[in-house]
Amino acid sequence: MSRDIIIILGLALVVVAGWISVDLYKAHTQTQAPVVSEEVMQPVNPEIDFVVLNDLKLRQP
Amino acid sequence: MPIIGYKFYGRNIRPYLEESEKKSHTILGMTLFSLIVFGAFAIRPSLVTISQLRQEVKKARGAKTFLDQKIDHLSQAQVNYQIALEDVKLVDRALPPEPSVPAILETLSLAAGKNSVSLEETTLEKVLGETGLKTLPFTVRVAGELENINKFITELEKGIRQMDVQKVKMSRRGENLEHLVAEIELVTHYYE
Repeated sequence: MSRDIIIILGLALVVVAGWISVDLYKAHTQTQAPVVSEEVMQPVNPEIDFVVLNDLKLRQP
Repeated sequence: MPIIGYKFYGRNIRPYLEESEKKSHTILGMTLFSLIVFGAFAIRPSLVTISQLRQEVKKARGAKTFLDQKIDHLSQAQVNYQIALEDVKLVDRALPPEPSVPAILETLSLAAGKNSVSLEETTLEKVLGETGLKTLPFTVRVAGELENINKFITELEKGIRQMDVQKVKMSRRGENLEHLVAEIELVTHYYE
């Protein structure tokens, strides 16, 4: 009788361990909302194309 | 009642606490039960929360690095903009934010006058493009000598406002071989 209970508890522990593993995997892989909005995360190119500006200067009448 | 309780304890519970084999089973069972209860209701939520927070911290660190870099770029862009402030205004003239039809007509009129051709007709077509860069096709009919018409076209192409000649159709007017009529199809652009 007591041995049967031990076996049941052992299996229950295995199930709980599996449950914890699945939850951990889900927590690790689930996509969360971005920390900062997409718009703010757009990169900025600080370079100005001076070649184009010089070309425009030459086009002035 | 206490006597019945003691009898019940002595018969049903005591063996599990004192007989060596049953005692070890009891200890093992209680340990497993504790692990199951704590695992399900204390350890699991804690581990899940830790994992989620670690992910958030990792993402936030990545965002911080990116935003630091963006702040540097914005500072550099501000410096570059101050250097090229006057020249940047040329971009607005070359590619204005609106069609600026009066400005186009003024340019055509000035170029015609300067190159001795008569501007007879200007026809604006339907604007092409949905958003961002828009294209405004238009047709100009001018009359004059071939050389002057050529200069007129060259001036339009080299003007500050971007104008691209698509097609030129020349025809003779009357008996005078020097006097030509040119229908010039052009496109210009603006950025909304």
